[in-house]
Amino acid sequence: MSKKLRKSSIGIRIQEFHEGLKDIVNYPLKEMYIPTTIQVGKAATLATHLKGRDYVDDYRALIGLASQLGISGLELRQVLRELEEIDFVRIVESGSGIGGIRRVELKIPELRDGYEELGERWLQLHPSEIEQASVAILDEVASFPQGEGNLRSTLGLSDKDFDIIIDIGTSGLLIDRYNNDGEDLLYSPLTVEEKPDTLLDLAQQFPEDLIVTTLKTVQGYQGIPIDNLTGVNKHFAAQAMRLGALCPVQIASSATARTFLFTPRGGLKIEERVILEKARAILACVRYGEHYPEVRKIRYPHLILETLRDNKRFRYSRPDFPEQYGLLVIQQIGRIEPDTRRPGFYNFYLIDTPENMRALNIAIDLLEIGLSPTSKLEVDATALLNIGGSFLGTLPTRAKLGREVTLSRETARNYILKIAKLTRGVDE
Amino acid sequence: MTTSATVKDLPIKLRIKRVLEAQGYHCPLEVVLSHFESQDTRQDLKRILLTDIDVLGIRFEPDLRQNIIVADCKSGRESEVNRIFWLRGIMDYFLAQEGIFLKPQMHSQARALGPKLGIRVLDEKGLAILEKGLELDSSSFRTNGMTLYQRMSALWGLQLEPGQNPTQKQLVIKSVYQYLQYNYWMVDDYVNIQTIIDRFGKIRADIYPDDLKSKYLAFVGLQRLSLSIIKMSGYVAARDLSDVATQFRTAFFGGPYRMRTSIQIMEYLKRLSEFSRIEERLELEPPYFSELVEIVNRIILNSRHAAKILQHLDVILTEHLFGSKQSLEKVLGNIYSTEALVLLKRIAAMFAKYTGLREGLFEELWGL
Repeated sequence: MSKKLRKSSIGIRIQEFHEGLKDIVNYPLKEMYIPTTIQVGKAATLATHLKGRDYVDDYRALIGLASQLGISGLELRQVLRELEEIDFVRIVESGSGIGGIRRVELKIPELRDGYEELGERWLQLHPSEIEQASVAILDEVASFPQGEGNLRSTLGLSDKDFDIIIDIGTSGLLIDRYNNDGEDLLYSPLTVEEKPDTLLDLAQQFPEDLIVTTLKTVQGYQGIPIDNLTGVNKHFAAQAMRLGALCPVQIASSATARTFLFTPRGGLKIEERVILEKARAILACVRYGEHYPEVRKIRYPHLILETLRDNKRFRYSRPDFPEQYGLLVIQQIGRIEPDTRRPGFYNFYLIDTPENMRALNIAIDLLEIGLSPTSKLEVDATALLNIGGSFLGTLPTRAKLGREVTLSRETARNYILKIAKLTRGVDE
Repeated sequence: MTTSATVKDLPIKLRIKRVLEAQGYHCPLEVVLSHFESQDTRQDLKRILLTDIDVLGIRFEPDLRQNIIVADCKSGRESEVNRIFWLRGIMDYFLAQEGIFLKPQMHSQARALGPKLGIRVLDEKGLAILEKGLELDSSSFRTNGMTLYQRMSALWGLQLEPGQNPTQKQLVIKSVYQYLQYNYWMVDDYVNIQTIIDRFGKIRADIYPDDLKSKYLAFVGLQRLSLSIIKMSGYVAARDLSDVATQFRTAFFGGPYRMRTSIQIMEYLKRLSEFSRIEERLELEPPYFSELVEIVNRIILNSRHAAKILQHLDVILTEHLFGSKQSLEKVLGNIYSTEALVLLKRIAAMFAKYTGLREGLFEELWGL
């Protein structure tokens, strides 16, 4: 089944499994049934946060970062080994460093995403049938809600295995059920903000293929101006926006309002949603400069955002900053000041807060790969790795309450029976 | 790499090399310039010696601009004026900003002419003052520098007994030595990168980590490869810093026109291979291309540190492969940069991976 999926899609989905399940305590199903997915998913999450660095020589800080990402200190070596296997990491050992590690040298690709290699590594490790089905189901339902009965029969899994997958998926807030006129549908909160009924309403009016293709187009170019879509796609997008299946950001300039579209993202905490909203606003403003400039067109949006991240301001003043970036002022992301040397021109400054910096990084992710991993909304690797001296006590720690989940009756029964067998000494 | 004619000038060459290294230059010695002429019936090219340069100094500025200096050392009686005019031509060939002409004793007309042509003239006394100014201790160096040079020279090239014919394998290894010593300086960097990786790939099974001669050859290969990669990064940085991937791709295939031709040829070859049912995938980009682009991107983003890569490699070669294994931090002092070291290792890892060279050939590097 996984052969149908592109390796890069596999890489993304396995990361989502780890990130969805990482905060759940006392939940053995993930280790029992999807160990490879969790293992490589952890590697994917760590790689995402270390991208753009050449090395980490403070292993203690790395342990700290990893623990925020759901990777324990004991697991970190194994996760690094996975990254070594795909040549993303080289570990320089020495007797004196913590855990015998002097430095972790990084080779994580920046000009392309590294999900291809991660997906390939997962395949090399021969994931079980349940793991392959888990990744395939998540990929399916993340594209469009699927009828549960239909999915069950298509996959050819036993009911027990299918239930386990759905249990794991719902526990990680990756998959959810929705009852639509008596039929159970499976959908992914990753791509639907509330309930999937909006998409189902749309499915009454538009072909499913068109919905999937348009959503993919928006994901492939987050912040796409609605004007760039044509014909039936534009008609669909307008409807989807109205019903909440696509997330619009509007920027008004002169008498015209421009609308930029983003794919929805559910399952977020309030503070994470705020950061994502800010990230969308930042990217929408840059898209505005790309598509509707009054002066000079933005040719390299990536560079613009990196300049803002590194310098906390744009290099040159422009006359159209108040129109283009006004939204960011309202959202307290930046401030605009007149250029004292050039009348009629304005400078834009980023308000340098951790939340704004994180939003900026997420805007870059949205621009580059069309999505931002959940863990990036929660954890700021730069803050964790750039601290000098000791790690403990100096970090802005965020207490995390472990989520407990309830197993379905059938899965709980199977789980208990399995433990009982092991207790008896049965080697499964 | 030595010939008997150059032995007499050797001490002074090594001293000026050290003077330049102390100022951040990477300094290949005795760089031979050759002309390659095709022969009527054979495919291989005949090498014709043009001239040689005693010391070539290459330094990268923190923004990857190159600073090149050419030094000529003479101890014989030949005309200083002629030599200075010759040196100016060599400087132009290498786009060198500066030249240095050294002779134990210098006539006044040379002192007058040199600066007019952008050449600094130095006699023995002046060199000693310069060394003092740079706080270089010359007493111990004269013996150690010479010993090191002799060790390196003894390990360079194929050593055959008189009358002995090289085997086929030895001929392939010889071609690698020849490329690094002669061809390298005459061709474009994009050709150098591809050729070094290709040629080392051909000898991967014949060079071993437990053989110092093999290791030395691999390290010189790494030096040349690193130099070409940094030069190409500088080229990309000079054109468009905001679009590294596209700029590097164009540069790597020899510019837009040559790239277009290459793409067309590759298309024809693909069609041919489909027709001939060849199963191998034909791609314009070599397998290491995406890693190379990533390296170039990191070099550009970390240019201040990347500019020191060759200095680090020089010290690893002299101190760790041949020397006392003193810590890199201690030898380089405030020049030391972990970023430069990590980038160097990344180049070496790519070199080893895509040539199939045994990683042990660079064991001195991995442990750092």
